[in-house]
Amino acid sequence: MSTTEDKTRKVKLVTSDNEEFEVDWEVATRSVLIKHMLEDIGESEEQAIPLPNVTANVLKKVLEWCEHHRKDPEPAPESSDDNRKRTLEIGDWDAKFIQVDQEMLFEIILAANYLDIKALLDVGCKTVANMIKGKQPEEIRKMFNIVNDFTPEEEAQIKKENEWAEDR
Amino acid sequence: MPFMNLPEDVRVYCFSFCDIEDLTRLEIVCKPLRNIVLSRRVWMPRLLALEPQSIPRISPYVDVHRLSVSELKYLTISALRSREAWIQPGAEIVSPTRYQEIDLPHKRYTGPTPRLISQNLGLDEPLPWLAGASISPMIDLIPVPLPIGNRHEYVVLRRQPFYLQIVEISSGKCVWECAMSDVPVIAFDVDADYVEGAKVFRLLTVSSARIGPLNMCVVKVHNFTHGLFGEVQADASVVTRNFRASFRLYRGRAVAYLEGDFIVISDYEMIWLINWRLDRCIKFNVVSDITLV
Repeated sequence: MSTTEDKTRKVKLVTSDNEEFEVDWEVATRSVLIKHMLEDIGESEEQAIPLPNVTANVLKKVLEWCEHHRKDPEPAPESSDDNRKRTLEIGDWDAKFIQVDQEMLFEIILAANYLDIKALLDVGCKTVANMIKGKQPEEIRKMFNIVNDFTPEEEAQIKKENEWAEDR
Repeated sequence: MPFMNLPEDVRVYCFSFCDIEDLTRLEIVCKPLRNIVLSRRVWMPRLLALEPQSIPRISPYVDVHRLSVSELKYLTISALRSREAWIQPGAEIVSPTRYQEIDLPHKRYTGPTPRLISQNLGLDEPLPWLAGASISPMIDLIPVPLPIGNRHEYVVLRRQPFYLQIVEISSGKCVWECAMSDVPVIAFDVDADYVEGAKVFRLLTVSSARIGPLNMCVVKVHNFTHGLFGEVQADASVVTRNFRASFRLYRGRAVAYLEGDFIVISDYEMIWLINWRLDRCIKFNVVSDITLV
């Protein structure tokens, strides 16, 4: 297919709760999953792509991100993974975009993982890492609603084992 | 959707953006998270992504893919800490992985005195190098080379009057002492290259002894293995070989090397080549026509 066609082409997506979204090809193909699906079904337009793992409110949010990043260059293939700098920096727009409640944050991460949108997955996971950063175990438990299944002795033992690793 | 319900891959990916400080704190949040943090998927990429300036302490012949998770974790963190210590000159406390001061174990020596040693060896006067013991506290040491950097690293120390201690570097703790009957240890060496199985290193000690009317040289090979918590401990198998000592050797003028099955002991005029496993000894007499001017 030619690029001019791509620019005008629309893609239909159907969420798990049966809502239909019509978006530009360029926006939808931010998702590698959708891109591959479109390649598979070829020119047969009008065929809606089912996304059984994503609900409408999450897809709306994800598409908002895709819309804003529609002109971004394709991410370099796998190699970028190795020398990826472990920076927690997130762009200004993304930082504002990801200011959502925890529930939605994890839903977005899940959706980005499922739809294979690496840049969005990075934004979500970096946000989680940022939330963890500098927090004490008890604070992390509280934040993520995790039950401590260590005995005080076990906890003390692990702390002791890790003492050498502390930044002194 | 709670955090713990995210797929494990996704959580591992989140943790790939965390500092090592955060990871060690995540370890004590709950057991499932500890299992994730203590996995190869978390530490191997970090170890491989270390910049060349912070090369971890690994011998070239070690295959990193065969290291345990705790070894990967140790190597990664210690390499980063070392790097931090170098790039922050003037930091008040320098990282223990690169620069460290330790107090040698302060243990009261209760073995034979130099005078007693000389008597036991049937010598009329104290050995000169032992006699000076009270004046100069001469100490020498041999490091125990281990294939990868480890929290448990050791040096073998010889203190006056020539008795041996093995000291853990990180804690300064004495983990082994030679038998008082082996004092004075006139020569010693460490071999960590040619050990097999669970053994970590071997220690060779060479002592003098008077057995009946004969002046003997007592050669012992001690084996050290990993204990329960990664520290070393001597195992019970000590190989002891006695042979007739030369006059010089008997009086403590000797150097010794241990390499695999072989021991070389030299008193500068004679060399003994010993295969301690086969209990075989070859004595070389060094004849020299060369006159040094």
